[in-house]
Amino acid sequence: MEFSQDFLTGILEKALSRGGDYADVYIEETVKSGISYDSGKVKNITSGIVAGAGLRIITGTDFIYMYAADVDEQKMRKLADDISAAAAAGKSGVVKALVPYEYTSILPISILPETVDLSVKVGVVERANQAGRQFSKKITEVMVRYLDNDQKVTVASSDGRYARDHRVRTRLVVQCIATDGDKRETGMSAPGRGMGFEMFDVISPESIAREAARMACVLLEADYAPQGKFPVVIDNGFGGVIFHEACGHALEATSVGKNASVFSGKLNQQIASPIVTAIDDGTVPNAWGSANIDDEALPTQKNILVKDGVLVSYMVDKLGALRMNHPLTGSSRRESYKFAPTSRMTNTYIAEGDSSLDDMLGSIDYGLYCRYMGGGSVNPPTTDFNFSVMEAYLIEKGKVSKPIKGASLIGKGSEILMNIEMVGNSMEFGTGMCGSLSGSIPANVGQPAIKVSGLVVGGRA
Amino acid sequence: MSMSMIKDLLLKIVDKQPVSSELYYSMGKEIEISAFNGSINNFTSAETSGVGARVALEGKIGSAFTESVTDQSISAILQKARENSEYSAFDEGNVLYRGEELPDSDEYMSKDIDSVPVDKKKEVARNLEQFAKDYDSRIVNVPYAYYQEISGETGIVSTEKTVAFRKSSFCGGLLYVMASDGKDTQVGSAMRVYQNFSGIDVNFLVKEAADNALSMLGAGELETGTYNIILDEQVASQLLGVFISGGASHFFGENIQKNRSKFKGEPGEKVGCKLFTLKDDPLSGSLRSKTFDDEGVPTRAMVLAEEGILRSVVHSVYSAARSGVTSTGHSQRGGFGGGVATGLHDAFITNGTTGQNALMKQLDSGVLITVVEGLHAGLDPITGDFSLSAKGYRISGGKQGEPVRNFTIAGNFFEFINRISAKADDRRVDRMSAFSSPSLLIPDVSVSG
Repeated sequence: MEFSQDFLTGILEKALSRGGDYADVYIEETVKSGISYDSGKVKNITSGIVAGAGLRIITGTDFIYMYAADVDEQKMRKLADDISAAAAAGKSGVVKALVPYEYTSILPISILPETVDLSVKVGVVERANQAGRQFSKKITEVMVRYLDNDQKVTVASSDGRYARDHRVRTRLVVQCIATDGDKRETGMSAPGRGMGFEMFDVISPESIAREAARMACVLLEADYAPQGKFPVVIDNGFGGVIFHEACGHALEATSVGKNASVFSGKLNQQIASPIVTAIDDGTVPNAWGSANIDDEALPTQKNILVKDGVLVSYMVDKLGALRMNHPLTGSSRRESYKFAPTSRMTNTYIAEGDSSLDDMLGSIDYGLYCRYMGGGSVNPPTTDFNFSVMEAYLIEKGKVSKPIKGASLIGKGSEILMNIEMVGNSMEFGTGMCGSLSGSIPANVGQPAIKVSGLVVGGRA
Repeated sequence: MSMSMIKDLLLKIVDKQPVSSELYYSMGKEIEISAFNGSINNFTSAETSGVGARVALEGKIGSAFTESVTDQSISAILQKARENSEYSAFDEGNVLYRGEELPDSDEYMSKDIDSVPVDKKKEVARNLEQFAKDYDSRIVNVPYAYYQEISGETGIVSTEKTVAFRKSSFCGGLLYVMASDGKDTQVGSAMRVYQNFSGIDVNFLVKEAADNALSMLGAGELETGTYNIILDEQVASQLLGVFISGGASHFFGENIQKNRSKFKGEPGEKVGCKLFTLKDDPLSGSLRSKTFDDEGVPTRAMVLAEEGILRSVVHSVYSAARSGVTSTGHSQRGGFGGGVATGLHDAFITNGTTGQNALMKQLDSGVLITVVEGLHAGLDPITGDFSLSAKGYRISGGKQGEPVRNFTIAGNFFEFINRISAKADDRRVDRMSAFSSPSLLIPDVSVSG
């Protein structure tokens, strides 16, 4: 499914022929493969291709989006004709000459998934199963999912932008169940990278499985979390989900541009504690949330969102820029051609500070140390957020004591950001899938450990 | 291509297959229209389709999918599925359903969405926004006002004689509003699905979303403690649904076989209290109704639990074969690209006989929970433990009192279904969820505020 530059220019012209200010076209071909494994054996292996194109017209701040699978030149022309009929009104925008964007990839791949024999992929899954079971006799089930995703996209816009990207992503999801008498707990570890099969040279399947198994075994010994408001230390890595939920979503043009964010109109104002600097960086080499270009053909970039507690930038796509009079930030993303793009996060993190984990723990008489966080969600208009704790410990008299389970943390993002009292000195990323208007997309969350005061801990003890 | 042309194409391909093979076709047509500030700010329209192939060979199964519905592409994925099966492992459950040719099913098609002009559909989105703004001056913003419609076709054919095709269509409205009194901001939402365009009730959606937001303004907080609570019908459906109809459901044969369920799966096993009667009725005529499942197995109404006693677990062909029984017609796929899993169709806890008000009266004092958030993360489907962010109202003197928020409720699914002390008669089926429940009264629940 390759289309020439001239052909795409023609499609954009046809789309705008009966009215519309701007048009863009997104063409995608994604080869996916997956292995699912449980009860000590492969359950299913699947593979397939998601291929199609989406065409969008923007008039003012309104848009029309149409898409089709399995496109050829004839189908593309029909799509352009259909969308121009739906957009028929007003003046036609001009299609500028397409200028290809040339770059050196930040996502170099050394082992493309398609070059790896299926038996070798199955081998990775089996290694994870074995390592999980060997970790402890208490591990009674290991469920593994291997996923790889090889996506080629071409984007062209009437602004003259034209770019291609090749994004390869690999992920291994391991869930272990530990059993002790009637007690049963689960642990999970699921790293992913913007890499091919070489990901397993960086992170071994065994280490992923052992982490999941370790967590399940710790939880067997855990009591239910206490209830109430406590100071909380959230460790590095996936703990960054707190910023992602409590603040990140409310900085996306999707909500800011509709005045549906608590941070609308707060540019250059203090929104976080002065020790907080937060960044969304789509250019981190081979990271899970990275891409060379965004889904409107702009180069991705490193966006400082909050500097020393002051809001300095939102994450803005084309529609957001029109609504907000804010520069584009290379933040336009979508799950597939079946979604119109919108402003999304990439690899979002709180920058390193200067406290050590021991300093943070030592400063707390009674509180919670959250080693691993689960997912969460937020209402951007209010920033009321929630997220779940997967592995946590009580802090008593400055020291980590017994493990606890079954907790969630809730609060108001706008308040929590102000209550970050200490920021650690060792940043790490955690892998996640982020769901919003333009579908489910790979996104990294990250942070060094942070200490937050006054979070509501939803336990039951 | 029409459904009958697709059927002919798939049958022709399947007829040529030397090994046990199945093709699953699905087509989806969607229209999505949203209004913002009086104008139609998003109009999305598309039709896509695809085919998933499964090949079962010597107790191994492999699958593959394509979005290109042509003889050549479909033959290619059958070949790919066969290759994939070679690296799979033997399991007695890896067989295809030995089926029959079923009559085409089109009883769940909308009667009018294809004939209603697009402008009328745009008007629904515009009205949702405008009526919400007119409803109360404190509705300050309506970020999302959507009209959506979906029509789809699904077909299954196999070398094992299965031929099953159905089509269905429906439409719906979604509204998300912000209310502010100058000091406090609250959000509210409403979503409903309708078989026919003529059934859309804009005023109902507006009232629900706006009242949800407005009634929360100035909400107080709850003191940490143990409360008697009422889960309203939506919260009860969402929360219990994760454990009953979600992938880790304790009522699925596969999860029981693999020791992931809390239950042994034997009829007669005590799983809940007297008020816990759980049924699945795929033929009730609701929007979730289906005459056959995603493997082409005819569906039927079933009692899963009666007054707390397990009557039956549910099976796909895979788990049924592993247990040496026949499928109960509970196979479910997430489209042509998704794997085959177990799923419920239209499961529910049966209604009680009184309204929610009577439950509040019975309770005298406690908390009515109307919103829970974080369902995708704040619970462990296997252990049943959960801790979720919640909103609601105090109940005092047997009546709904002041709004409360910024608290969590925590507990365990198995404890909850063993401690339902009353249920209302207010179960709803118009959200198209696989599980629905009436409002439930649960005593002694941990609340952190």
